[in-house]
Amino acid sequence: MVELEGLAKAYGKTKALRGVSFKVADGEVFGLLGPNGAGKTTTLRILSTLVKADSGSARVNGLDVGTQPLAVRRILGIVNGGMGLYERLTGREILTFFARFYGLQGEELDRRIAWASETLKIDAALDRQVRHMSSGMIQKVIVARAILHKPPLLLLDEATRGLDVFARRSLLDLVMRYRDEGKTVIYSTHVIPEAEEVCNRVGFLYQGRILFVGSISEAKKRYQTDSLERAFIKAAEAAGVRP
Amino acid sequence: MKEVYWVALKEILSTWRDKRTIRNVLIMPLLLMPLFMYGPTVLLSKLQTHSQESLQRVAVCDLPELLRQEIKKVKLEPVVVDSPRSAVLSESVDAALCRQGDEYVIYAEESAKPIKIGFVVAKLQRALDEYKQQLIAAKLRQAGLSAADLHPFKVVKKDLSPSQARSYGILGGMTPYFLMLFIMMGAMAVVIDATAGEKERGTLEILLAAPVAHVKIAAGKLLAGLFFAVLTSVSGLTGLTIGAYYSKSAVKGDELAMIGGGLSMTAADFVTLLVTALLFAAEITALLLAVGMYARSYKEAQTYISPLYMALIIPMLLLMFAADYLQGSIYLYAIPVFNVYLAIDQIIKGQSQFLPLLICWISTALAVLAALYWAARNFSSEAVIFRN
Repeated sequence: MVELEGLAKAYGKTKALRGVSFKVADGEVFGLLGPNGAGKTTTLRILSTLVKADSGSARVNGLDVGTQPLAVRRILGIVNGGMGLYERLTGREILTFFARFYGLQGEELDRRIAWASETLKIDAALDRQVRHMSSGMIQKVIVARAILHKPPLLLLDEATRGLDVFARRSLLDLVMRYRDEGKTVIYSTHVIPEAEEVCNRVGFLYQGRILFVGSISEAKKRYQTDSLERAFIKAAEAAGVRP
Repeated sequence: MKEVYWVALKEILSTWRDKRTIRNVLIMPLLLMPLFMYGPTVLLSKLQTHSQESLQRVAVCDLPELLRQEIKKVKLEPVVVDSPRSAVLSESVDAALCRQGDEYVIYAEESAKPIKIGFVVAKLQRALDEYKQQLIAAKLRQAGLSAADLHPFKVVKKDLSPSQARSYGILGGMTPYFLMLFIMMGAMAVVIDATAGEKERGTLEILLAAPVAHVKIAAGKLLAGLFFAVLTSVSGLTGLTIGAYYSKSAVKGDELAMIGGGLSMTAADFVTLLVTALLFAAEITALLLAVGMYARSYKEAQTYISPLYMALIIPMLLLMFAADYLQGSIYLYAIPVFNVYLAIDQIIKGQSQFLPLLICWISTALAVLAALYWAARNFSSEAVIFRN
């Protein structure tokens, strides 16, 4: 499904990624874990075709993100913590606006909006302008927009940032439901307990390098700890980098 | 092309629902422009009438009685003083007139109060002219000649300019400026929100990650900006027209021509002006779109757009001061922005010609495409999108 090979990216003299490689299979929730500045957002932006890698390759469903950006974007859903919405449009208008780019129209579009509304409990937001919504509701609409076209790959980048407990729970439940439907999720976060709850496999990313890729139990076993957080710290120490 | 329409529709709907923006860019020009046209015109006219009819004090020294009589006839009150300069500077009189040898000297602080003092000085000059005519007539009589001997022939000046050019006036000269202003106002209302606003809100990344070519996103935003640029221009120009119409009732004749209140256009010129203005609006909107993408916030966008505004004004100033000398060269119609000012100036005067106009349109259309390409590149440039 997703294949990254030797991905490197620098912003001026700052090396954001230094040869990142990992694979994510269909139906997996892959946790990309690392502190702020580790390179998680850059990795996801390369996957979402908004940033070009300096070297290496990234493929989604066999499609090259560098040369087939439109085809890649069609099979992606993206949510990040810093996203917002158009203040003077209603939830329904926003969902309709984006859904059209994925070829959704007419009755099919209505059905999808009803489905997303039921899944995320956003009925109240559909006919209300964004400026009159709570931040939790806004985040739910952002997620609804990302899943409306039922993308086979969902990229979540610090998606629970700033969410209250109810909205956060709702998002984590959605990720698990998505996994159960056989779809793929890359879940990028620095909140390791969240990843522990929803991910099948994880990748430790630190200072632009992948330190470990495997299941949560493999991580705990390799670093001889019962905490994924401690496993991450030990992986960083073993690689010669200290927080 | 459907995607372009959807993006444009989204931008238009967002802007349309912002009451403050609509009030500022659509309603205010419609209300303020008539005031701009009508207010100063009426005020100036009333001041002039008041000045003609009221009595003003002027200092005089060493004037013959005949001249004093003439001064009284033009509704000035002569006050005899020793020092005309002191009388004027102390503002006890509006002006002074003194004979010094063979000269009559008018003292006035005309530069400081050009309108008020200008009226008084004009009255003094009328009195002096009348007095001079009387002296000449007296001398001619003594020499056994008549006043007609001084005018062996008449000089008649005939202005062969089209009637449109004769009624050009201040309004005609200001039209390119106002057009640019209205286009900027309307386009900015959409474009800043559609570029820096998208970044500030965190919506740009979602939009650019949608499966639509970035050039189509840029084109949709351009279309929305153009829509509001046209609406604001229509609103502003309607306001100007209403103002000019009512100004006609306040002033007549030469003054009416001076302000451009009699400005009129043929249907063909109107259509030509419309096409030129539309291309110009697209040019400015595309430029705003390209420049606006560099900004990370509304505030920053305004600092980027100010130099662009200045850059649009400079060619207009050049045209204002040197239009007569610049219109001859056809190459000037290929210079973006300047060519539009030049073309509009000629269209309003009813003197536009096909080839220069065609060059202007082609040049402007190419400038629109270049600016759109620049904007589309910015929409795809990670250095611009994620500029931090």
